[in-house]
Amino acid sequence: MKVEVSRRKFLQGSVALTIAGGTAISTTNLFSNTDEKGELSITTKTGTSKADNIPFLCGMCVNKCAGFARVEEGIVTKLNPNPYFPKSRNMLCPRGNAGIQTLYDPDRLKYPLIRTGERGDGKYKRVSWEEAYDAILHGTDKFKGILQILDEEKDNRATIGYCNGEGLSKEEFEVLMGQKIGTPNYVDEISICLETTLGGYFATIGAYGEADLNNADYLIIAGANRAEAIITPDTMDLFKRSKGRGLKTIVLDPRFTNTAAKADKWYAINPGTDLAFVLALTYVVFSENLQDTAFLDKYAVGWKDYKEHVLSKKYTPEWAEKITGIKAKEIYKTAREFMGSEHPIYYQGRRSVFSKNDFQLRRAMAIFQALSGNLDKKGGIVYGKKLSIPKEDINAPMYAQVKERFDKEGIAIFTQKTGSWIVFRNMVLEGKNPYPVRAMFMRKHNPMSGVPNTTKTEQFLKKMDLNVMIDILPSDTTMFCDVILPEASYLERTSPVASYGGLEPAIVMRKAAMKPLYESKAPEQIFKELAQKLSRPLWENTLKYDEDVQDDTKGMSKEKLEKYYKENGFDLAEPWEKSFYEANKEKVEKAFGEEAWKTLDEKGVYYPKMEKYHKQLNPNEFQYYPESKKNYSVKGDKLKVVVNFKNLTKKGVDSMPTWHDDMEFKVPEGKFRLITGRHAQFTQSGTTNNLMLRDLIPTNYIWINKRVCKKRGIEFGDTVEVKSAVGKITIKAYPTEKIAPNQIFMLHGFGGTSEGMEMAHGNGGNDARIIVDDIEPVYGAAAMHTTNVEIRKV
Amino acid sequence: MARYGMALDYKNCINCKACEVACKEENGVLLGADKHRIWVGANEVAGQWPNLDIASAAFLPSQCQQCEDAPCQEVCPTHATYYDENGVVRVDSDKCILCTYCMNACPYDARYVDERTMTVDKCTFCSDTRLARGEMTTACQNTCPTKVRTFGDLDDPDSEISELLRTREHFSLKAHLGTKPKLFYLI
Amino acid sequence: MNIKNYIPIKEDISFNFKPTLLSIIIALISIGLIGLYLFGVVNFIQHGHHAYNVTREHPWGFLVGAYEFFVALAMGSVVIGASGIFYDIKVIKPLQKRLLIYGLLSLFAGFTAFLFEIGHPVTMIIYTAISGNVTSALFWLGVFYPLFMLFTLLTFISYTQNKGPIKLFAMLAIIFANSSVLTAGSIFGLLNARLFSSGIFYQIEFMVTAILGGIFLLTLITVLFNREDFKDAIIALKKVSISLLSLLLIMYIVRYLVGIYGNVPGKVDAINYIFHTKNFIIFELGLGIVFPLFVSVFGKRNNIGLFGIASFFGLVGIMFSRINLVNGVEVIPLQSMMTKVYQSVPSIVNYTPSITEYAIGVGAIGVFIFFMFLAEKILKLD
Repeated sequence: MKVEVSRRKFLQGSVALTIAGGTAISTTNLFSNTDEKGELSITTKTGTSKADNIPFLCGMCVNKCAGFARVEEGIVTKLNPNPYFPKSRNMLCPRGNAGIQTLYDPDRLKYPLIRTGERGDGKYKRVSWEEAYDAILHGTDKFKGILQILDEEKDNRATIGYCNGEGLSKEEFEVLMGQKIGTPNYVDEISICLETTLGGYFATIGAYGEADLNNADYLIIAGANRAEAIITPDTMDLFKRSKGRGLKTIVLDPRFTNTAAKADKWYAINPGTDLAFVLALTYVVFSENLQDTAFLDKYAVGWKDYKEHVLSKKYTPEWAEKITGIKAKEIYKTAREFMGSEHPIYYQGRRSVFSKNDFQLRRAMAIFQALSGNLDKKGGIVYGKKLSIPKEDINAPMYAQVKERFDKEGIAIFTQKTGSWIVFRNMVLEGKNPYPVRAMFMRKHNPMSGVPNTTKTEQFLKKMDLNVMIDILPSDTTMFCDVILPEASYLERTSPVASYGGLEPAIVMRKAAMKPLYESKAPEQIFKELAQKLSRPLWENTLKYDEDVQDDTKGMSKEKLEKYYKENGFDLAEPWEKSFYEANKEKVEKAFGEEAWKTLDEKGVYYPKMEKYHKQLNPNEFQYYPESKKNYSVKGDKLKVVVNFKNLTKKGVDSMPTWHDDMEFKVPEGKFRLITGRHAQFTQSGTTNNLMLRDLIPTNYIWINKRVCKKRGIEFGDTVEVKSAVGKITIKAYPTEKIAPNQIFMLHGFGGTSEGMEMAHGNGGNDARIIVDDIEPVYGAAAMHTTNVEIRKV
Repeated sequence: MARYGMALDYKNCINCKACEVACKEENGVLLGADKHRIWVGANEVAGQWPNLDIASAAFLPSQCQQCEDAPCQEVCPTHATYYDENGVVRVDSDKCILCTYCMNACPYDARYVDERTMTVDKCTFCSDTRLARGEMTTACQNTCPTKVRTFGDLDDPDSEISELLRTREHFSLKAHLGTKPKLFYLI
Repeated sequence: MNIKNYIPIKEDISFNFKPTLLSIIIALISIGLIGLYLFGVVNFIQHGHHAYNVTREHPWGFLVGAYEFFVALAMGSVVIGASGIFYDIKVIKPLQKRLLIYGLLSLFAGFTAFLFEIGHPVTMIIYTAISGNVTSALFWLGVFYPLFMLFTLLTFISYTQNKGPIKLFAMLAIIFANSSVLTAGSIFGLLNARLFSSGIFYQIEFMVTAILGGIFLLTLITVLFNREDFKDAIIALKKVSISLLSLLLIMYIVRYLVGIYGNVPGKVDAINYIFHTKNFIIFELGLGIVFPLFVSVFGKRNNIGLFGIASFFGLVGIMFSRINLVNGVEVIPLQSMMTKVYQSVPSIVNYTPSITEYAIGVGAIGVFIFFMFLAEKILKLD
């Protein structure tokens, strides 16, 4: 970035300067090896003097683990686990601990920036907040302002697209853009994540559910790498009980993950063929009559249709063996063991889509769970309860000029609120949108790394007339934006109180451990100020073009007009009159009382009777709720499992999970199927600039089977080029037997092109650049494991 | 006073390395793989895909074993390495002359050079940070997602660690060298 | 208290320099080496320990090896010289003073290398004294070296003045020289975790190579400076060297067999690795032991010219054996699991000394030569 970003030491006191860049064991430099050392970073040693312990919720990934930030003389020196939150089970993962390095990242966005060069070249100039807001409204000589755009589009708010990464302030951004500014074009990150899984489970058992891993005794976990893709509390519960300690764990995964290393059995299933496996299991259950018939009769709709369907289609284990690569006798054994266990669970999984049959796969998995009858009871998949927090009433204005969403091409069940990233982007690029989409307002999101086919994302961003980003680091996507607004990181802000349900529900709140650094601002402040800036001018624009509003306000006096403006929600800044902290206090006191608020304020966590229920059992474990108070069974007679979902056929979707021949796993000779995934030390692209985490994994590597490497003469650390139909990357090679000879794996999130992030820049390979933008046909979610690639050594 | 040791339920370990990060953040340890006080060791899995030997992929968290009969303490010429009142092996950086004899003597590769003071350093069971503040857990124990570690007083028969060692089988690393480590791996 | 009463300083100290071909060559070499040494020191002052290639797994490097080399040379010289005094060995008489002084100087040269290896020399001096640890071999080195230096000096002074308990001092010098070298070997021998060196091998090997080193040094000086009056001593010492070299050769053979017998992990890998390197086979074994042994046994009895060449290679061999020792102790990592997510499995700890380490270690030889030159010019050693 051509802006002044000085690496100054901004912490005083007992700060230790460290040197990053540890290398492997051998150093063969003949001269001094100081040039091997990387950049400076900072770790602080905690002191023994009095310190503040501020409750926070970690923002390094989606889990929102609760912790206490130890603040000494205004500096956060350590992040410790918070033992009160049931969901996070008194722990912080490596990213949670490394949050300090994100907080103090020297590359943080420090002040508002306006683009002075071309998109992507990194030329920006520093401006004040007022100038930045003004640039959004009126534009500069380099880009158009939103006012001009809306004027030219005759107040069609849908010309603005927006997106927001997962977080506690996400809903508030949705309020600003979706409800107040009034655009329907929300390209939510859920379509490059678990939308289809949720859809499959909701359609079948009415909810996503929680796996009661503390009490289960048999677990099939497929493609959910809980040892490296940490989800609370599942990760913490599961691995204490596998390996003969009460929970027999069967792992299905094309590659040998850390979860497979903890399993009792691992099946190397072909990518995207899980559905065949589940259908075969179902076949065994039905043909040997192992299902819980009483349960199914009572709760499952259309299960007999499904039985006939599976048996007549002959989804036998022998059939599945050819498709999945898992031996038939293993499938028989697994099905019998599953049904023979008292508390079996087929784990739901939670990630982006493997292949186009994902919806049917998740339905099949949910149905299979129901076959065991282990739903809504202890040791099974449970629904749990949630503590409800009063929701704010948003006075959302009605815009007559706003047009409808259009990103429906190729999608069977269109989600009105969240759409599909890939379809939205591709339709705009191909000119298939019925009206121009001219602005993107983005927050905490990096589509350049997250959405498959980065080339197209780049083109898409370049096509916009205005790009605005609110973020904490200058990510790849930020470098394509016109106005960049620096936000306070999660340790510098208080967020809206959130409620997490399940067996042991609680409400949690994050408090700012310190004031926002540099010139960054808390999200609600940005929303409010931006809204204030845009409110009146956009209102004038509405008056100019919106016929309904013109009708309503014909002949109104100034005072009446003002009243109309306020009462009908056209004052965009209205939801953020109070800070989040004040709003939280109001909500919580109203719903749970003053004592509850005090507890929440001090400990960051609250649930009813917490003082009575919460006990320390031993140095490591806590009781959150006593056994009798856990919400194992809540549905009663309202429990319903939809097996034969007849209405789906109206949308062209199979009403019951069915296998089609095009679902088979095929890789052309000499090519490799690309699969991506996680390591516990990184959260997608958000953490690749974090010095502590980069110290653990300096760059990403591509997993190639050792025998393939031997044939091609590739050794550990050699650079290879990976090419697909949509792009190519160079990346280092890691020969291993943990992956099949016709597949390769790479860790997601690397290969950043933004020069503003010094550690992430040019480091490793960006998988989004080579993943083909296939979608699964039900929700339009991105299918990540359908790309075949070529490799060659460079 | 006390006699501190640690029990590790290593089968829980998922090699997430939260403990490594927590240790560095708590104790202000420099970044760099050669400067870790604690680490999680892994083996390259044995076998050929798809017939991989799951047991060979075990993860073994490790650190200074706080030996009762520590070779590092025996060979330090200036008593810079000493046993504190809780049996924890500590390094007094004022006395350390960086002869690195202790680094050669340690069978567990637990020691490294702290480049700021140019003296030798290692895991201290968080003695000068958490224990000094009166907390009874080490940073690595407290943060672990799957609660691998249990730190405690081996001389206290009521402590959790004493109970664990009485009721579960355990082993120590390189026990044949006679160093009497105080880290116990629960089977 | 006139120093001249105690130390035989020449009346007419003149740093005359006879420009023969040999002395010019030696002068140039030593100036070059001293220059190299100074370059290394400057590098060290600039970058500190980062100028070295020592790592966490390989904390001892070339400098420790070089230091042990000089120490051995020192001990050997003094033991031979003091034995000559104590046992009234006539052939050694003309060499005695030189041996004692060269011993001391070799130790000082070793210190000049070691000074830059130890991180905190001042702390070392203070705390070894006030809080020394009696179980540490390094502590005992700190006890025995001063005593060794003291008694060597006392032996030298009393011998030249022909006053005082000469034999007593000589005996104590021998005792403390041997103690020092045994302790130096114990540094490696008492490392129970390091199967390459643990045991008794290096204590004894140090003693044997120390005496051999003394013999080689003397031979080299005799041959280079054509000291006919030393020739008898050398011929006698040549015979001694035969027994010592053969002992050393047998020790190596047995060590190799013991090392590879039974495939004990940690032991067999280290032994195999070191014994198959070029450094070991050519320099330590071939040129360092076999060649001198050959020359001693089959060379003409009175011809010491070839033995002189063999001595040079013998000294080189001893230097390499120290380096191989340091490398061998640390070449097999004690923690062989992978600690990073992406790395290759740790097998061998690779170590090549950095230029600074070479500079200081090899340059110290130049310092030693310079010290010897000064001693020759200032002191009466004949």
